[in-house]
Amino acid sequence: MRLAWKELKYNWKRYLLIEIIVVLMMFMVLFLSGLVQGLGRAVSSGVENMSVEHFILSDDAEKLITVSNLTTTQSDAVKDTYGKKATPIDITRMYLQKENDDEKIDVTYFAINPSSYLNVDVYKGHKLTNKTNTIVLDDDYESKGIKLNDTIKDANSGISFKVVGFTKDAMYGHVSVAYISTDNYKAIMKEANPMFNNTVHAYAIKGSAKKIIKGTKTYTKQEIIKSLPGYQAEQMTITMVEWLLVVITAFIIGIFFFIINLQKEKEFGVLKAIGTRMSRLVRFILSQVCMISISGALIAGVLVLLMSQALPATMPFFLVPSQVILVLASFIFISILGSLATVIRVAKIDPAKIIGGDFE
Amino acid sequence: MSQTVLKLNDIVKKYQDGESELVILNHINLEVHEGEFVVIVGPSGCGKSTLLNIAGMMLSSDHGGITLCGEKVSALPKKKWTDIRKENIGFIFQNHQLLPYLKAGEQLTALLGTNPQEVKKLFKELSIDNIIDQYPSHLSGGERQRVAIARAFASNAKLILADEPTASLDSKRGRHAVEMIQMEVHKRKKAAIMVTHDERVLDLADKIYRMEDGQLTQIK
Repeated sequence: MRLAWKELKYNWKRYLLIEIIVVLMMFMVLFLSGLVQGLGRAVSSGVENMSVEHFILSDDAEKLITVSNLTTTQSDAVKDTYGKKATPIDITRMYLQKENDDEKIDVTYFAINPSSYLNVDVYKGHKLTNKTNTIVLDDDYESKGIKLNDTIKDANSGISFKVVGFTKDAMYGHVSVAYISTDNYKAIMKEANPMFNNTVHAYAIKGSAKKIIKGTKTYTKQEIIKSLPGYQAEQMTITMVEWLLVVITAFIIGIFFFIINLQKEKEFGVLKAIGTRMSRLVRFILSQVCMISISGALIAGVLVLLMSQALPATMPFFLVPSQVILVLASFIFISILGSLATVIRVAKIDPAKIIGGDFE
Repeated sequence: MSQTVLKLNDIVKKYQDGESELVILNHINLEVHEGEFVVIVGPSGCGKSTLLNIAGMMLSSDHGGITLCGEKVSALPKKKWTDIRKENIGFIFQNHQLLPYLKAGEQLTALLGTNPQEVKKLFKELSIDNIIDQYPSHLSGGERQRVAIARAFASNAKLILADEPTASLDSKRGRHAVEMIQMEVHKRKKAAIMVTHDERVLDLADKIYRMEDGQLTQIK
């Protein structure tokens, strides 16, 4: 360890070069990791933030809440079975308009019971209540110029809402969420379609699933999220790029390390000749790789953290600590694995060559 | 009678040279005692280095045995050889072979775990105590070789093996380096074998062997 550190210090220019490459590559990897999580959240955070475990949908809905449709009979059955542990949720894509502005803004309505556990916290204004024609918006709308206490209008029905609060991190299928009460939702639907007959999209269930009600299916939250349109495809693609980069970076430092150690063959020969055990040489090599990769990973982690603070809110970027740690730990692990090539090479060095000047 | 440190008994080493077999060492016998400075001379390619490698437990012989400090080390498995080198043999190589990233003193303390007082004493004896905190790249050739000599004598090893220690030095410095080796060998009661083709330092040796065609003949 001491020897390894002295060598790093002495040849610091060489190792600094590797370190810079490691930091840049890991930074890129972590940045991608933030993006993949951010994009995932842009699709799913509205659902992910709900503190529920299961959803009950109609059995023909293909796990899509927007497509599901529960009849009044089924609704009553759900309420009978779960009591206070079930609450209705309706999700619909619509358009909003600012007052005196024709431009349509995409919105996903989450229609909830304001006194249920689906109601969200706000960082500005107050939480959604049962008061008619009030609405709580994602902070994305704030950056689009809508302010607290503004009046906005549902483009389809023309019903106006007063903005009473802003919440953070509520997206559904890349569109920001607006929370309204179920009663207001029904009003909108009736305005648009007089035939609307008070059906409910789905129920959000707290706790474990109970017996299945006829014509419905129960899914876990994770199943619902995975089935969101685009979620799986995006996640898979970026995650693959991310892991590929982790492996490539680890290999790059493995190769650099191998080359640097090739130049030190004579030194290793001398060390072996004067009776340095292979186990000590292995420790020497591994501790150098660890020092380079661990410090590189940490620096990259700090840089990404700093950058995430500076990014604008509209950027889909979200760092999950467990994910970051997993990426960095795997990188360190693969780097160590890659250095085994160097270890094998060093193990094969014949100390006898040092006498007679064969290394010259 | 001083103790025998190294005993080479009937050593044979052959190499395959194309179709034919080349006998590098042809039934070599050699004994080196405590406090004895043995020099082996001979033309290049005569097998001096091979002999040193075999005595230094880095190469196995095809026949014969090696006894080091009374222990028949040639019978031990190869895995043990590294430890034998560490504990029983001090090496002085051509071109010093110091590690560039260690200061002169650290070549002993960091690598061999020699305690700093001992290092200071040794460096003083070799009159290099002023460069103890210098990196090898800042030292002259003679100073480097003296640090290498210090490294060889730092352990408790009874046997010192020196491979052309004057090769990279001019005659004055070369002679000085060999004088240092001789002095330490006598003072610390070590047994030393030096391989060289530098005939100008032969007067410093206690015993001289000439090596030719795989045979050793004593000439002093």
